[in-house]
Amino acid sequence: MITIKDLSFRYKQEARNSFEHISLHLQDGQALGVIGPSQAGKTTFAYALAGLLQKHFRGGSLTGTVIFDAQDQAPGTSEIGFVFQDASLQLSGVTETVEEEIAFSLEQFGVPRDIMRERIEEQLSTFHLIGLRYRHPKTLSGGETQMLAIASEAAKHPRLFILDEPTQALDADHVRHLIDFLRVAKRSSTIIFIEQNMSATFELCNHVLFLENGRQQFLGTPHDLLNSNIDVSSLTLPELIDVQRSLGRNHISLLFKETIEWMKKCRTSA
Amino acid sequence: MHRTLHPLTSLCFILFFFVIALFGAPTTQMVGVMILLSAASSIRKRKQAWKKIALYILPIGILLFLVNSAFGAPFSRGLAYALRFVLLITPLVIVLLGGSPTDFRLGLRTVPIPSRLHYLFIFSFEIIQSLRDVFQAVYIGQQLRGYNANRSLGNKWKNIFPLLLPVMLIAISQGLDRSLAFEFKGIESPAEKIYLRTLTLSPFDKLSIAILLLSSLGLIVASFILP
Amino acid sequence: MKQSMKERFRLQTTGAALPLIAVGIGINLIMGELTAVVKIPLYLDSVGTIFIGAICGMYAAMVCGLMSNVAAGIIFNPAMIFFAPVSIVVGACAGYFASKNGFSSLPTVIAFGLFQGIITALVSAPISAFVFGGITLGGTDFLVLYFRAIGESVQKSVLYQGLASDPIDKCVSYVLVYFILMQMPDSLRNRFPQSTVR
Repeated sequence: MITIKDLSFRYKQEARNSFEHISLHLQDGQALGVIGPSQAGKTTFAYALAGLLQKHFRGGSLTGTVIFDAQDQAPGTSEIGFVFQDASLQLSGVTETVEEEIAFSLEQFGVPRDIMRERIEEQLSTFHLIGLRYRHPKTLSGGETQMLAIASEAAKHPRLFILDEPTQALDADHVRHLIDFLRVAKRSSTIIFIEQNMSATFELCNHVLFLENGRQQFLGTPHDLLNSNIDVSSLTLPELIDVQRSLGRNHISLLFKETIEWMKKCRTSA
Repeated sequence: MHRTLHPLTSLCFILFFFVIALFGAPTTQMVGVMILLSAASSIRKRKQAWKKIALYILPIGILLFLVNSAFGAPFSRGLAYALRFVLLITPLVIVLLGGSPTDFRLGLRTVPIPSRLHYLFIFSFEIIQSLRDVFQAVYIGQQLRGYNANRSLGNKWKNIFPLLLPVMLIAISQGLDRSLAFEFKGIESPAEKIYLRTLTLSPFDKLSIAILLLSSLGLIVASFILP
Repeated sequence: MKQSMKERFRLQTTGAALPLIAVGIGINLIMGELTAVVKIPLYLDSVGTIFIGAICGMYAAMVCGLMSNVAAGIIFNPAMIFFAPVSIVVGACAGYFASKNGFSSLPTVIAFGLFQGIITALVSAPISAFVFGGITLGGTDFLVLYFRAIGESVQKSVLYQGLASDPIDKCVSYVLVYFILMQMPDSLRNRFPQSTVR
């Protein structure tokens, strides 16, 4: 559970806030999609949640509060999974096999060896990396590297799992595997999903936070966002939704079947 | 020496010849060189080892001998310099070419130094490769923009900047991004590290270390007792 | 409150500083390729160490120097390992200089660079004389031979050679680091672990 109250941040020597006055409340088992055009402050917001801003960006000013759980106990680094935009910079760089790369942070946190083996098997099969188990991480393709980076973070079973544009380098199959995994993972951890890929976001997330120029434009379910009068032209919407909008539908649906039914109805009435 | 060696054994091997170079009498040193040459011809990459010995160690050794025997110095002084040089450098070559990087990496985990330092050690090799790629990309990019390295000597220092600055900026910004990612890797975790795979000291390693250390000690003691 | 040495060492080599120290090591090692391209008769192989001294601190720079020489020994030339103490001293001096806010004016940087060169020559001369007897198959060997020929001892010849070449090398290195720090955008500078640079 996360409660955020009036959170704002400004980098040192920047004229405007990266994001400002963000307030939200997220229950356990929920996934929050953070969407918006580039430079909207999405990544900085994610850094704030993970506690990186105070430590790594000197001179920045962070105001507002972030409360985790009832006891205000922020998750430790072993309990946060963070997948960064550039997966190649996230790999440890000292391992020689995919298997060892997944084990790396578990080794550092002192996870017992039998549990470690279990988790490795689990991640290898979840992310379809079994065939790559003994490959050197440097020889993987962009998509495979991204999957490995996600698997390495997921292996910690994080309480808070933040993913910054994870589908960027992925092909359709990989995106499918990732979404399937996250749908299961969100039962036990809170997921913050920063994405430009709207169809993945709408499929996974119960709530979306729409940022533009650092301002909170909208917070609510994807369904409510699309049926509100908020300008979403800066987002790249899935074709399914674009079609409904261009045909002037009042009540936009996220469901494929329902939309097809509606289109059939349109045709017969025309 | 086709077996897997623990880094500690390799270190003791280097140390042993270091002691011979420092404390050994000329005859001991000659025996040491013999041992080194036979070790060099029994490792896996013996061709490379011999190449390194023939093209690097031998020329400098001979040069040292000639230079130090010249200028009116006694013949034995040149020999001492040459022997010392060979004894200091050859073990390093043998260890480097004889061991495998994987064994070394895994073995390092059992050596009692802070884990973040052995992490750094392995990682620095990784980053050299990626920085080389960055440097090549920057060099080609600057050449396409009309960069010319063949200026007159007085202007040469100005030539460094168009290459060095972009490389540094890219490298530093990548390094800072890695720093962020490392927060979640647990390198700072106070927990006792448990590794999936390690390389522990085999009985052969333990025996070798004992022999090497004892003979080193013996040599040092002997050098003080004997005239 | 003054921190203990051990504490400062730990703080300067935290997980967050490690990738930067590694970058310093990498820079040191590719400087050879860069000077070959630019055809400059200098080594400049401590630019990375000095830079780390400026942005991460003294202990980080010492680790950077040590590791650079070990790595160079493994990759290029085993003899480099014996010169690790020299690099550690360079790291210590650079870190100390930065902690006294030395990188704020060019004349100070030039003066300290020259001073660093003298220190380096003093530290490396005994090693060079002991391991190599002054011969490194490098471009400065002729200087050693010249001093030997005019009747100096090995130790003195090597020291004179060092004093003739090191101050220029270190001075250029320090000036390069100074200009790089000047050119560093604020967005990166604010993320350095230590604020020794204005």
